[in-house]
Amino acid sequence: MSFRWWRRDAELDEEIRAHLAMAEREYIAHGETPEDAERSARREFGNVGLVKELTRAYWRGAALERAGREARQVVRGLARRPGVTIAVVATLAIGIGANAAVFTITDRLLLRAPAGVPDPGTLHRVYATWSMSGRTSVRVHFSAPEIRAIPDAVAPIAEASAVLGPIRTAAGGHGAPESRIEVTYTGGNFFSTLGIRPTLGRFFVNDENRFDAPSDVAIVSYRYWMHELNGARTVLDLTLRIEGRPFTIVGVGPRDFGGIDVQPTDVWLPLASYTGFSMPNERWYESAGLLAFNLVLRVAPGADESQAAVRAQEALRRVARTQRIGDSTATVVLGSIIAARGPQAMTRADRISLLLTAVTLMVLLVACANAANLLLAQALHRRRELAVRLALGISRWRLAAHLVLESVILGLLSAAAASIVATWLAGALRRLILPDAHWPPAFDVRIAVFTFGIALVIGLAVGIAPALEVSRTDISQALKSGLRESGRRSSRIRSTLMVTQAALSVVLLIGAGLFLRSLVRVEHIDVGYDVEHIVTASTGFLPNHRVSLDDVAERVRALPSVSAAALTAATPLEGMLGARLFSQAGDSLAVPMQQTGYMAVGPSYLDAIGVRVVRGRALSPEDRVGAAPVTVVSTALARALWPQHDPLGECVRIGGPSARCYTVVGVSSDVHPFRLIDTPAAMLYVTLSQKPEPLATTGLVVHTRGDPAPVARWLTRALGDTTTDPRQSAVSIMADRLAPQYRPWRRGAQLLAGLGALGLIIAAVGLYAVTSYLVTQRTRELAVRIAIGARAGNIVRAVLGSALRLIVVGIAVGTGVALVAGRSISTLLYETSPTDPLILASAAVVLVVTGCIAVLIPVRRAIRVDPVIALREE
Amino acid sequence: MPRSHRPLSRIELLQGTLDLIILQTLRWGPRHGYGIAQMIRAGSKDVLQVDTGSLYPALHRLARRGFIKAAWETSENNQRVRVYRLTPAGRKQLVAERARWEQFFEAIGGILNPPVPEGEG
Repeated sequence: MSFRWWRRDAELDEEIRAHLAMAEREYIAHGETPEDAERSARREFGNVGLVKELTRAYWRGAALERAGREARQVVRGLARRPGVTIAVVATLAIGIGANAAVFTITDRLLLRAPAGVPDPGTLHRVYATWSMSGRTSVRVHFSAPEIRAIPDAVAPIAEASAVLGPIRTAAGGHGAPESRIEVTYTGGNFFSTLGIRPTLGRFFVNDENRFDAPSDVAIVSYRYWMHELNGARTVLDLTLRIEGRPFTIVGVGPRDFGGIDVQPTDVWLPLASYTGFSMPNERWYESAGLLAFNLVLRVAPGADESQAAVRAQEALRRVARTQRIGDSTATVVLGSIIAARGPQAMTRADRISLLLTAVTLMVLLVACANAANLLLAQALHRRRELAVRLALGISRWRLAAHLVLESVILGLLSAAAASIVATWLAGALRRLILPDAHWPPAFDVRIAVFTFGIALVIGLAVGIAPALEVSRTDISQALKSGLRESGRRSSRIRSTLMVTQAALSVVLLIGAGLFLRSLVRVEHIDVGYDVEHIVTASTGFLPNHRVSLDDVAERVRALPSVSAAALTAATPLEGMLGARLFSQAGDSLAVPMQQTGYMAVGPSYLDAIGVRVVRGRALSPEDRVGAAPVTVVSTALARALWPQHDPLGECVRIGGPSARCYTVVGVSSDVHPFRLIDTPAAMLYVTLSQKPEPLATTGLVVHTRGDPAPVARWLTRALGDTTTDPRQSAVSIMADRLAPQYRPWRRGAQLLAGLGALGLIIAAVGLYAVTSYLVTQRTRELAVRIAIGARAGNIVRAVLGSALRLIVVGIAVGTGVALVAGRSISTLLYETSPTDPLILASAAVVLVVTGCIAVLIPVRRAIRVDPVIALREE
Repeated sequence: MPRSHRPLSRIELLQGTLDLIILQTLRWGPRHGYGIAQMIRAGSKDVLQVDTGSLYPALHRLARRGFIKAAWETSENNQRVRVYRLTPAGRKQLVAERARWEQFFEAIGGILNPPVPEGEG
């Protein structure tokens, strides 16, 4: 209460006291005794409280004050019932918080156009779709000839530009230490296509993007400029070293602009300056087979979008015809600039965010059902209190308003708690879904509006049922019958809510089970390498590399803790050299659905990576220049090319139909070439001496006897590697490299298990509350039963039975939902069927057990009903 | 006030009329709430009894609208009392309300006691 209000109140009190005193004196003057006079004066004045109440209504700010008083009353009421209040607030906070957290992700991925780009509606990503044997495929990547042809073709009704990236790479210079930045390579007119202007300096000019003579110029983002270059106006003409090459800064991007992708870009470079593709036989900017570039397209004001699409399509088909590659019937689709809204199949991140949206909505529904249930049970519990209030003359409208206000306040309390949940959960989710992205703070204005908006709506929604219930209350009946309910209607509502909760809990539990099982499967994946004992060194990116790798290999082999070491052109898990294979006769050997390639390695490489030779022999130092070219092939390759007969003695040409033919001398066990989750590659191993094309030897693989860490440190020193960031280090331990790949699975499982547990707790609280309410309500019936000789067992059956019936119906419904929804998440699972009966059964068992525990206390209370006391109370 | 003085029937004041009466009462000088109630009762020969549940809200309403002003004073019995007095705005309001009321009174009177048309009876 405000001070002014308090003073006015005191003054009114005094005014009335003076009135009473004066009236009293007059009665005394008329001969009454002081006691009688006082009584008469009071009688004449009437109800002091009422007069005050009526008078206050005319004060300034009366409506606000009344609402404040009402709110205080509500808060006092809530504090008197801490159990229900905490249960409702906690339940809703979890539900709303989870949704707000997921909203931050979907908002970023699906809803928000790239910041700082004007008029995103006419800006498009270009897609090509084509049909092959009845299936439609989509690509968003285009070849170099295509990215040259399409912008020319669509002008002047649209402007288009190629984009490559963002790519994470190392940058340094300008006196700053090396750091990882996101680089996007763009065509010369990228910025004019987007329609943005530089904050400082200029953007690229077309001349700087000539493929045969690219310029070493760079544009830095506003964010990078502010954070890394201190926002100095003198940055223009500074030199930035990116992957060891110098680039001159010529411009700073506009404020807020971080490119067109979810991952913000730090530095833009001319596309022509990109050197990342190692193409042995052709220049990447002439390759028609390398699909690597995105295209953005802006339709000119007033121009026809479909016309632009048609022109782009003609260009695309023309390239396909002249280059004799690709599909000359492809269709061009101009999609949204928001990558996740394109016609392309959804990415993993999009799927996860949609799944999470569904899951958290479910948690929210469970939470709402629970809160409504608790409030409903409580409203019925308070019927006698409310009936007394009604009898004392408070209007039904006001009482209902009081209850609605109560739920709104509950909603606001929940929103405050939800903000904490949301901030925490959003952080966890971001690390899970897009670990590398720069995110704005989790809790911004939009999320706050979202949280409080939802909380208010839900507060009102769950408060309305009890309010309606009260407005219908029959005073005399309520006063007479106390807790007993008159109709069956509200018990039906409660049962429905309870079944809903149980069903949603089952769905959540099944989801958690599926992800846990996937995690277990993932953790048992055999990548084919002896992961725990391998150290790799990759010296390709070491600046000023002067140490001879042969030397280092020789010295490391001599260490007692090293069992094998081999030089290699490419280190394991960083890939292999992709190549097409041909038979001795020069026919193309197709290896369907598998990555195919070779590794040029030192003779002891297979030993060093822990790959076994299952047939024939390993590579040996004898397989040198001049000797007959030989190869060891992986089991996967052998099975794909020669399913029927012995591969030993077969001959394979690598790279071309007239290349040298390598005789198969051995078959090795399989490895995953890139990632943890991969199919075994169709792989050939050849010795470095017999490599089919000129390659630099930059890799070293070492097999250790014990802990690989000391060997890794030794190698770092030996190579003169001074980088401090482990991610940029030339030397790495294979187990450390694989570890991050387990993380998404682990986090996914943790997250779903966490959400499942939350859903379960919420449902358990709800079940407990409803059952204990039912027991209270049925006290009389139970008392009668006990009085006429029912045993504890019968009572338990009666109470537990009704609770279990609800749970079982819920399980049936939930399992059905899970079976239907399971199909849509199967791509997020690893070797786990979404209809795994064991998981379905476990979820049901968990819910039944939890349900039984939840109703334990109410059941005990039911058994202990004392018929004498219970019946007398009635 | 002794009970025996109570009239047999009292008239409930119309909403709005009370405001006029209060303003009129204050016309001759400042007065506290109890005094106003007594004065109305006496002035109406005990016919009009003002309910405190109407009087105080009306006083506070009029004060809020600026027609009267409240101030604390000490009465002859050494009692701190809240005294209301007319403001210039209240004076204007009183004149306007009075004019309206007289018009209304005349109109009602005209209907209830129609002038006898000439040539009749």
